[in-house]
Amino acid sequence: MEGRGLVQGYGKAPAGLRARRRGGVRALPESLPSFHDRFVDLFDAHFQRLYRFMNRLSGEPELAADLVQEAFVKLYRRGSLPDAPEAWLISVAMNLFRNEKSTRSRRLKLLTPARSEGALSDPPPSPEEAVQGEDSRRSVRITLDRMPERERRMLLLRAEGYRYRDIAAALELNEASVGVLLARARRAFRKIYEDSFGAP
Amino acid sequence: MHLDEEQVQRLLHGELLSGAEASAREHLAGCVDCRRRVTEAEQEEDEVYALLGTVDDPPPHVSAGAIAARARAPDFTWVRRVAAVLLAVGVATAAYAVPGSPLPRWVGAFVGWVGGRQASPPSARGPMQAPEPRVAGIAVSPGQRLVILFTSPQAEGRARVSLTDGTEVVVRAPPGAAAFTSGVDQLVIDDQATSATFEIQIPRAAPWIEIRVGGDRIFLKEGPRVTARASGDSTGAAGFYSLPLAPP
Repeated sequence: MEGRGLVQGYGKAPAGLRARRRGGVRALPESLPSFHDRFVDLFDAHFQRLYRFMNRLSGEPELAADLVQEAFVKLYRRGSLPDAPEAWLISVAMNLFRNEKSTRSRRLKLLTPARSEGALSDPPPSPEEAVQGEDSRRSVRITLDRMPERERRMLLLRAEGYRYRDIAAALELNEASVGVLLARARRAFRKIYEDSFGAP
Repeated sequence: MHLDEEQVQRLLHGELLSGAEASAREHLAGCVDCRRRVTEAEQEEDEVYALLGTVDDPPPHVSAGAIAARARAPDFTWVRRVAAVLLAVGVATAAYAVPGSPLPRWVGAFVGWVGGRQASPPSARGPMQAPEPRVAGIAVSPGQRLVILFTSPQAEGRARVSLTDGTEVVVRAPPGAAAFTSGVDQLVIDDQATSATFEIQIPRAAPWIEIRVGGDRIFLKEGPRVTARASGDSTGAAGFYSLPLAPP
């Protein structure tokens, strides 16, 4: 991976951050992970779950891929990581999605339009499984579309394991009440689903 | 005291501080109700997340290096925007300059309207409008036969016919006095019963030209021979005829 060989990686950065005081003089860190290395680590840790979140939110895989890539491109062009990079990426991706929804005029070219090989390596579903899967997928999609915007986003972000502080920052909420709001969002999803399609 | 909703969720998600989590777990050990609430929340979450998983699509294969390369590539967005603006200005300028384009008139009317100098709507004649021509008309080839037909008689109108050395039949009238339609061997003048004077030039070399008002012939030229409806000032002198368009 590009530039990764220069340092050991962000996760091991404290080894390079040994600051020593000798005679009142503070030594500079021996080596700091470059912005590029930190970006690579962030990308590897968050690209797929941000994609899953945007895909669930938008219901359009190609659009989700475009928007998430664009969010990371913007982060790289920024030249430094924000205080809360995960929340920053979520906010940027959601803003891009909002713009896209309002104009529907911009389509970014995918760097790699090919879909994941994982889908190809899985055994193909039987016709019955495929029909059931498609029905279930459609039901969930409809349920998500019927949810209030904020609750939908909260539920989907937490489903991807985002921390409360990131959810609160991305959705501009009070972090102290994220748990209650998440429970409410989950119940809303379940009620809409059961009212429309019966118990899962 | 039972755990509140926020505590239950935070316990479930590992979002309680370590001290608070220890207290919550201590409470759970002795509280059946709260254990049940945590268990139910966990089951509900598992069910919902399992459903959400059905809408997933495999992520695209993109590397951080590819994203970085794309980010480092020159951003031509502003260049495209400038080019689009220049193109739009060029097209507008061309449209403005094309002869007969209504754009200058519209622009003039709009400018006048916005500036309060003229209260008329944009479709009205504006300050930059070209002066209307004082005459309208049509020129057609006489061919072997040509009938010039006035659709309606006129009480006051006249046709002033002159023979020329030209090659085309030319009809001129005040603007708005008539509509001209050229067909095979026929030129129709829809004079809308106005009282206008029509100037008609007929080539001397034209073999056969007839002028009719409705069903009445008022002029006929067959070769060099000309027959015109009698009129006080229809002299025929020097190849000039002034013919009334009124009914006989």
